[in-house]
Amino acid sequence: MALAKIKYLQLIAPKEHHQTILTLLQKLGVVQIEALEQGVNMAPGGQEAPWEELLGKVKYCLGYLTDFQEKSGSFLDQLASTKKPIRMADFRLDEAAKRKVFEVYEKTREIEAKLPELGRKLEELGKRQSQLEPWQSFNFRLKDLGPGQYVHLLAAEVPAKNWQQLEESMSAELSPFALTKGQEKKTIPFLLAVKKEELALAEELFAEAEAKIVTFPPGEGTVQEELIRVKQEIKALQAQREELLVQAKKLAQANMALLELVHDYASSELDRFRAAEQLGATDETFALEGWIKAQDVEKLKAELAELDFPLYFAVREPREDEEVPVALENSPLARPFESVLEMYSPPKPGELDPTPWVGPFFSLFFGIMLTDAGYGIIMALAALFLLKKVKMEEAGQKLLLILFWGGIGAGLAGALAGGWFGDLFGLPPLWFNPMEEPLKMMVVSFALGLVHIFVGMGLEFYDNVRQGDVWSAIFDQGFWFALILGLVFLFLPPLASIGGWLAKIGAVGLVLTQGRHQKNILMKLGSGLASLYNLSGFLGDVLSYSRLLALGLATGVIANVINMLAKMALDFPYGLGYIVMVVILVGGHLFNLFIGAMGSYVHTSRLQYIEFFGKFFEGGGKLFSPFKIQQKYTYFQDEVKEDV
Amino acid sequence: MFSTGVILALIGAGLSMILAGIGSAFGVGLVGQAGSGVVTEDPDKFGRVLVLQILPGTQGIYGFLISFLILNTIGVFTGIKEVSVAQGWALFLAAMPIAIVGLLSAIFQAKVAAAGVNILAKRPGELVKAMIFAVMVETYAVLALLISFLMLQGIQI
Repeated sequence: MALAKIKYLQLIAPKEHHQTILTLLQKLGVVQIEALEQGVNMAPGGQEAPWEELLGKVKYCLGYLTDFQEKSGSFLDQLASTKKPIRMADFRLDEAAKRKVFEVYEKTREIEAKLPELGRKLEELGKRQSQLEPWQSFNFRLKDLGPGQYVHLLAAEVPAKNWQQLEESMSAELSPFALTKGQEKKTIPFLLAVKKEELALAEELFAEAEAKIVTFPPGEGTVQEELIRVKQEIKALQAQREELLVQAKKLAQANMALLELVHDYASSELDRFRAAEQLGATDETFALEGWIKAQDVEKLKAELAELDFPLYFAVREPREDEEVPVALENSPLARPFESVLEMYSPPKPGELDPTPWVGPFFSLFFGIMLTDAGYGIIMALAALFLLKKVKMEEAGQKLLLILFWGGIGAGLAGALAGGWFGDLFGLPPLWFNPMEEPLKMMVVSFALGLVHIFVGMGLEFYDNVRQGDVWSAIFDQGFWFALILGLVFLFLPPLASIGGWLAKIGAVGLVLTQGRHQKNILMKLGSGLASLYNLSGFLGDVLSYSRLLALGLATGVIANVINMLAKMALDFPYGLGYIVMVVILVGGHLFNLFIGAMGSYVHTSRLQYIEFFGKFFEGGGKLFSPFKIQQKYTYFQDEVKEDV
Repeated sequence: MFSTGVILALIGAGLSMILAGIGSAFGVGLVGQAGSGVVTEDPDKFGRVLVLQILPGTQGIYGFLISFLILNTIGVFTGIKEVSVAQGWALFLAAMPIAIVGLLSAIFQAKVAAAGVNILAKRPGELVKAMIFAVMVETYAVLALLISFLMLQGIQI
């Protein structure tokens, strides 16, 4: 229910055993190592290099091969974690696996080098093909183009509109020549044999008619033969490329799991070498210092006792000036809501852990913002189903559990307000329907907000008392309680007179005490009076809870609209209406559930962070992050939770 | 054939959907553009970018909601009722909070959410903080929706 007790650990042992100790600590995962200033690189030079090389290769393969991996690309998988479960016993690396990784690396390199080369060749051949195709009807050998003994053979293209002009000018100016005209399209290809000495003149005529001489890359055989050869080559290269792609796919399929495992293993090895850099060293010994949860000390001691070399081991309380990391510790019921807190900021050392208070309000507010029992039940069941069926890491499980409790809250709120997929079944509310009595619901929202805020202030009151600062508790929270309760009572006739007195006591108390940190008497009074201005901020906080009503209404009204549209569809002839109705109902309500649940999640978080935490929570601590095996792609399915 | 009152109510219903819809369309578009850049680099962030993109989409839904309620009030689905000019103006005015606030808050919220996409690009773990920034803006759309709704509640036809 609070923060775990954290102690400072010091350990000195013979230098040659530092890897043994670090391996043990990494496996246990209970110590956060602090860097020592006189840190000496304990790793004998070069030991980490092979691991760095291995990790580099694995990362390269992973990066290249992921694109070839068959993906189960459902939306759910995108959102869920993709880490794979492994057993702790399988988290190792033998020589065979290492060899396999190098083999995969070589193959990947080969594929990566060949693929673009093939692509380039294919592109070239494609160009060649499109260049040759217009000349298919001609019958000449490519090597015959160019100068012969007496004549020059030219292949050229001219825009169709200029053909006549070119033909006429050539007949007029050139001595006898041979001309073969190709198929008429936008440009006309033609073959021309001219006397060698008239080549320059022909080129001039070409320029006038915008005709271009075509140069083919060297080749034996006729155009047709060349074209067939090119097509064959393209086919062969395409087959090669297919083959490579299949290879890459197979490679990815067969080795992804291994690569991911090796990635995690190699990075944990490297982590250990890096951790060694944080140790202090003398000629014969090394020193390791860090943080450990008080509850883990005995376990560590027992493990250390089994080692067969001498070592010094001591644990002490943290000093005042040290920045102690914090670790949250909660019952399994409250634990999912730790993530809500962690996303805001971990508490600072010695502060209250508000997690147990976040849970109930979170589910309640989430539920009211959704206010639909049907949606709530679906959500809770879906979350349970996913928890059972989909293996995922802790963060994902926490989120699902939060959604589960949110679903329960929505079920409750929906039943009270009579929302079962909107008004689909026309079930009566157990309490009242906020759509018919929105003002009543607004009062309920404000009342809940007031309770939420009071709990927040109460926590600060408790925290002050706990730290022995009873006067601050009375001045800073007690008087506010009195003032606000008094003001609320003013609206409830039987309590109005008590309310008046409470409010007066509160207000006077605040004016007298809120300036107590000022020196000057006038400043004291001024600050006291100014503090009453906070009342407007308080009012704003309470009004903010009107979103409970607004979002609940939004979900409800949209659900009703969906039902109404579905009923309209019933008028379609031939029983088609039933199909359309079902489609509208299912699609519409799923959409509404999705949008509503998202809005509820965000707005509930906001109420926690701004309105609730603002009253008592400072945050700014650093989470305790022990030195342990870091996994990017895998997780241990048989990991036993120690911190219950 | 329609009375002036009905026309006024219809203008109100239309504006509520049109303005809030424009705001949301613009907003969702803006965040989508910003998000595409991030997803190009890292397709795995799609789900989280989507969450940010949806945020400025709610204004359109609020606008739709009020629009629908106005149509329902004047009996578009069951048969048009008698609506006096004063009632028409009242319905028109009831649509204004969500119409105008919806339009502007969706645009401002989109800018915050688009900036939040940058948070996501560099620190994928901090999605919730980016969401909270955007939700601070949405508060006012929610309040506008509430007032529009309460105004509608008070108008009897």
